[in-house]
Formats: sequence, C-alpha cells, structure tokens
Amino acid sequence: MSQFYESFLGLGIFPVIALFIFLALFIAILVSVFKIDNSYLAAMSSLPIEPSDELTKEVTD
Amino acid sequence: MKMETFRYDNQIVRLFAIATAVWGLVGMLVGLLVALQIFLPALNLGLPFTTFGRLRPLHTNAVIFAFVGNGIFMGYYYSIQRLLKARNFSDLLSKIHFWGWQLIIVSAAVTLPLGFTTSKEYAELEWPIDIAIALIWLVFGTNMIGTIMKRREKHLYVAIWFYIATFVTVTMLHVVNSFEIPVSFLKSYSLYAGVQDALVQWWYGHNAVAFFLTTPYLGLMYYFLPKAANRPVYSYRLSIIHFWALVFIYIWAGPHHLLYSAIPDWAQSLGVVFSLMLIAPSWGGMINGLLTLRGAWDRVREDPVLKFFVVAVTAYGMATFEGPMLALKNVNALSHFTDWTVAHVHVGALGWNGLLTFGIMYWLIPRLFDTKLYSVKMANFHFWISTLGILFYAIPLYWAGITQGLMWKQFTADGFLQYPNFLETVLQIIPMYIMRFIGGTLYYIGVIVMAVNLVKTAKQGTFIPEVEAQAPALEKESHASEGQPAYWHRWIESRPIQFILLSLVLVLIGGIVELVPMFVIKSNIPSIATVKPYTPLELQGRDIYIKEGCVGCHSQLVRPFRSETERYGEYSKAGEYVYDHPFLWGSKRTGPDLHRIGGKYPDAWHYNHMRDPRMMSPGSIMPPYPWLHNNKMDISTTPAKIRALTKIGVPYPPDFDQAASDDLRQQADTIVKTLADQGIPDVSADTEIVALIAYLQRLGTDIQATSAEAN
Repeated sequence: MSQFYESFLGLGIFPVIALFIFLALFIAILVSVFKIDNSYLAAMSSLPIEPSDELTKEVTD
Repeated sequence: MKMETFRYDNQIVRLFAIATAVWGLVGMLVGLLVALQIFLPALNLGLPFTTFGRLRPLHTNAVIFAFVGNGIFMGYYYSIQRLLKARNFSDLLSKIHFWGWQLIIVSAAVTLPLGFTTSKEYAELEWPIDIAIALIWLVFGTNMIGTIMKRREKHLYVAIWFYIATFVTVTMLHVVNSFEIPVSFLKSYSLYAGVQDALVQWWYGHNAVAFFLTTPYLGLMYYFLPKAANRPVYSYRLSIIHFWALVFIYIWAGPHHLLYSAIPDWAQSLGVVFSLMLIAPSWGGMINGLLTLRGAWDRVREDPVLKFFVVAVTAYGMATFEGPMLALKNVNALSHFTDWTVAHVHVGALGWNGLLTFGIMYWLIPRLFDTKLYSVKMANFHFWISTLGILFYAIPLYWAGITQGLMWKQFTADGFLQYPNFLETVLQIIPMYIMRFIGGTLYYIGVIVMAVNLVKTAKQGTFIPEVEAQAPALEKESHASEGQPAYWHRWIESRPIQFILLSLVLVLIGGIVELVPMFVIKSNIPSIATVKPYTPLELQGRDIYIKEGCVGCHSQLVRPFRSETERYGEYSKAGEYVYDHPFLWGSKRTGPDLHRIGGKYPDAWHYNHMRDPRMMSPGSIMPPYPWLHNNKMDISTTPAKIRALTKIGVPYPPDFDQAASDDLRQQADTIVKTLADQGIPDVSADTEIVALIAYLQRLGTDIQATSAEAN
C-alpha cells in the first residue's frame, strides 16, 4: 500500500491549487455580494412573492 | 412599457404531481418489503425477482428517480414559469420529458427485478436505459434553457441557479459514469476497472445525492418557502455565497465513500477536507431557509405546509452536519459498512426530500384545483406521523450501526476477536431492524393519508389547466445603462449562457483534479504478477453475483484494520482489482466481506449455503437462491464477453473468445467432480451455481498465491 501511495507523491499540489482557486473565488464572491445595492437585493429576494397569477388559497382557509 | 399576456401551463405540473404521489407510494412500499425481508428472510419467497438483492436497487431507484425525480419536476415546472414570467419553451418537450421519464422508471421497474443491472449504486440501469436517461435529460435541459431565453424577468432568481447547476452537473455525472461496453442488449461492462471505477462511481454516487437530491430541492426551497411564508428570502447575499460555494465544493467530496480503501491516500484526504468544508455552505442554505420564516413563526403552528418545510430544512441541516462527520476517517472507520450510513441517508431522503415534497404538494394542489385543502387535520396528522416515523426509522439504525461497528472491532483481553462469527453481530441488531420497519410503516401511513387528502382536494375543486398572466416584455438595456453600477453578480444573473458555462467550469475543476491523475498515472497502480483475468466460468459466476445483487449486502474490500484482517484475511490491494469491470466493493455489510472468501469453505458448503443459508449458518438472514441450482448458464454470450473485456484492456490471449466456451465447460466439469467427491453427486455442470462457486472460490486467492510464492 505504501508503495502505491508513494507513486502518487507530488500530486498533492493539485488539491492545494484547487483550494486556492476556491478561496480566490470565495473571496471574490464575498466582496462582490457586499457591493450589491440593497434595493436590488430586496427586489430579487421578493421575486417569489410578487403578486402573480396565483389563486391565493391558504391551506388554513 | 408594453404588457404581454401569456399563459402558464399547469397541466405538466399536475402530471408530475400525480407521478410523484404514485411512485412515492410504490417506491416506499418496496422499501417496506425489503426492510421486512432483512429480519424475515422467508419473505424473499424463494423467487429471483422478489429477493432482496434485486428489490433493494428497485427501492432506491424508485424513491430517488421516480418519487424525488418527479417531485423535482413538479416544483420546477410550476416555479420556473412564474419566476421567469414565461410559459415553458415547448409544451411538446414538456410532454416528452414527462412520458419519457415515466417510461424510464417503468423500464427500471421491469429490468431490475429481472436482474439486469450494472451493480453500480444509483446507476444500476443498463446501457439502453442509460442512453434514454441522457436523451430525456437533454429534453428537460433544452426546455429549461429555452424557457430562460424567452423570459420576461431579466434576472434569474436563486432557485433557477440551482436548477441550472442540477442540469449541467447531472448531465456530466451521468455521461461519465455510464461509459460501458455493451455485450448484449441488456448486459454491459463498465469501461473503468477496480480503483478507477470505484472513484468514478463514488464521484457520481455522492454527487447524485448532491445534484439530484440536494441542489434542485434547494431551488424548490428558495421558491416555495418564501411563497408559503409570504416572506422574502432572508438574505439574497447569503444565497449567492451559498450557491457558488456549494456547487464548487460538493463535487470534491465523493472519495469520502472510499476511506481506508485501495484508492490513493491523497484522494481520500481530498474527500475528507472538502466534506468538512461543505458544512459551511450547507448550513448557510439551511439558515437562510429557516430565517426566511422570521416574523412568520406564529403561522408554523397553524399551517401544515410550513410545518413540513421547517422539519425538512432542519433535516437538511442535520444530514449535512452528519455527512461531514461520517467523512472523518476516525468516525468512518466505525460507521462505514454499517446501518449508520443507511440512517444518515434516510434522514436526508425521508426528512429533507420527503417532507419538502409533501409540503410543496399541500401548497400546490389546492392552487392547481382552485380550492382549499380538503382536510387540514389530515395534513397535520401526516406531518406528525411522518416526523415520528423518521425518528423511529433513524434512531434504531444509528443504534444498530454503532453496535455492529463496535462488535466488529471488539477484541478479547487475549487478543482474539470477541465476536468472530459475523452472524452474532447481525442477530444482535435484529430488534433495531424491527423498529426501523415500524418507523417506515408510520411514515408510509402518512403518505397514504396525504394521497387520500390530495385526491379529495382535487375532487372538490376544478383543475385550472392554464392560467393567464401579464408581464412587460424583457427590455434589452442593462442596469448599467440605467445609471446603476453593473455588479458582477447582477451581470451574470442576467446572462444564462455565461451562468451555465461558469457552473460547468466550477464542477469540472473538482472532477478533473480528482479523476484525471487516477487515469493519467494508471501504470503506477502496482500490478500484482499473480493477478490474472477471470476465467470464462468465473466471469459467468461474477455476472450472476452482479445479477443477484450480492453487492448490496457483501463488500469485497478488506480495510487495513487488525479487526478486519483477523476476521477476513489480508487487506485489499489496488492491484487486485485491475480486471474488475465493474468494481464490487459494496457499501454495506449486511453479511460478511467476501474478498477473501476463496478457498475458505469447500465447494459443497457454497452449494448447500446458496440453496438454504440457514442450513449452513443457523439464524442467517440471507435469502435462499434455489433457482441457481436449476437455472442453466447462458453461455451464448461468453465469447462476446471475452471480446468486450479484451477491448477495454483485459489481457486475454489472442482469439481466446473462440476457446472460452470450452474452457468454461472444462472448469465446470472439475467443480462438478469436486462436488461429487464432497458428497454432492449428479450436479449438472451447466447450472448457474457451478459458475457462482467458481467465482466465489477465486475471490482473493491471487494474493494468497503471492504470499505463498514469497514464502
């Protein structure tokens, strides 16, 4: 088993690169979302509850 | 601003809703049957197509792809039209999608009990059905992208991001994992072998959970939870972080299904690390869901829909905390192969998927039929009995898993295994299996009550097949041109093609980094000189092993623990699996590991054990396989099997396909003679049991030859 592991030595660099890609992406998204204006966020988060075609039947009617 | 009038299609939503309820009832009923069979093996009925090994994949496929799959499409078709303010791109594609999906489910319901299976978990269906799945999935995707393109809402809401990620990733996973070489109409061999097959399969298997059972349901949560609570989603910022982090991280976690296995250590570590990281986005989603109810918690007491949603999202949080914990190597050493995993899966399936689906149906059906729910009391009863059912299901299985895991590892003060007979560890947990069945029954009663309630609701109302709506046409100019800053995420939210491409790139990174090294340095998997391809008869036996679903209860992977090497023998090496198309490591030990079973018992023991397991192991819960002693081997495809395996790299001698049938008969005659010597005369050499004995006696013996040579 140890021989098998040894043959993969050096591949550790791939996960490290992947981790950095993720961190870079994560930070970029984090910075990006905090730049978005609140009015836009409010409008987007309310999209599902905009008045639409629905027949407003409440389950507890 | 010009207003446009259009109509939403409710018919496709109704069709998928009916299919969700019907297949839910069917899939869970099969689940109850297999739960019964575990402690009442007589209920296997001695028939091939009612035996646990064949029914278990039917249950998992029916619940995942039929119940949950139709549930996804039900919620998806309702929500996407309204979020995009557009009718579906094509009614024809919607109908092809629906009927095609049902045809695939029926094909699975027919082929799996008949034993046509690839044996790869959650991907058991054979190659023609795999192709059908790919085509119907593309129909779904084409319809979705078409609808997005003709939308009247410029920005894509978070629910749609999750739908897009689901489409893109499932396409990739299904195609890559389904590469197989056909032998006949319903028989194929995986293109990958052994360690590589295992890694691809669990890259697929884990992400089937991620991108079929999770991301589409998160999309549904982000639409139906605000809708039912009549509150905007708690934090749109959090949903952005939740989405991108989840999509990027999830794809990496697959190897946590293969800890302490023969896959390389770096891949295992990668699976563990990314599994732990998954807690953050998963809980971000859960918190976002629960906090959407802020200011509406008083309604949870009254509204069964919200009750279902709250417990569903909580179950999501529990399952996504437990998953990373199970991915820790020290926890996994105890939990893997036990019922703990089964409990974990069912907290997700019954709690997250099941309850969210039920909540959506209770919200949706009255609206589709322009009426109110027939009985709130029945819905509340359903909620409580299903919640109780989940507890009765999961807690005994946690208990069973931990108990059995500890018993497997227990040594006496003298250094011997405390429970050397595997059966002892099974009999200990039978009461927990009975409790699990009671939990499942409670849950199922709830589903029946729901079905009655919804049918009554539909009957008292009038179905509204199409609903007229109005919205302004989509404007071309961007927000930037309106004088507002064009933030990156606002930009991509309004560009579906770029969104799809970015999602694809993110999921590809994980796949490429994990899979490519395993293939590029294939030669580094140490070959073991004594490991030879299976003989034609062993191959025939292996195919019977696959057909009967033995892999559902028996692993073929001895982990490098003393408790396992003492019980089973030498731990498993990567090089031992190089000719295994597909790999058969399994994920559950309802019975013992079989990787070192070869030579452990005489042929006659296997012959009698397969006919009646309790004759050889009193108290065993293994089903009997009497038909193997009568069924004739189908050797008409043996040359084709040899040719197929040769094509994908198994080093049979040139033209061996021509000699394969004779080779098979010769080895079968030898086994028949051995059986006669051991007191079982008159066994026909062309029966399936002979091939299965040949395969079982071969298992793990290559490495024994190596040890013998070394000595």
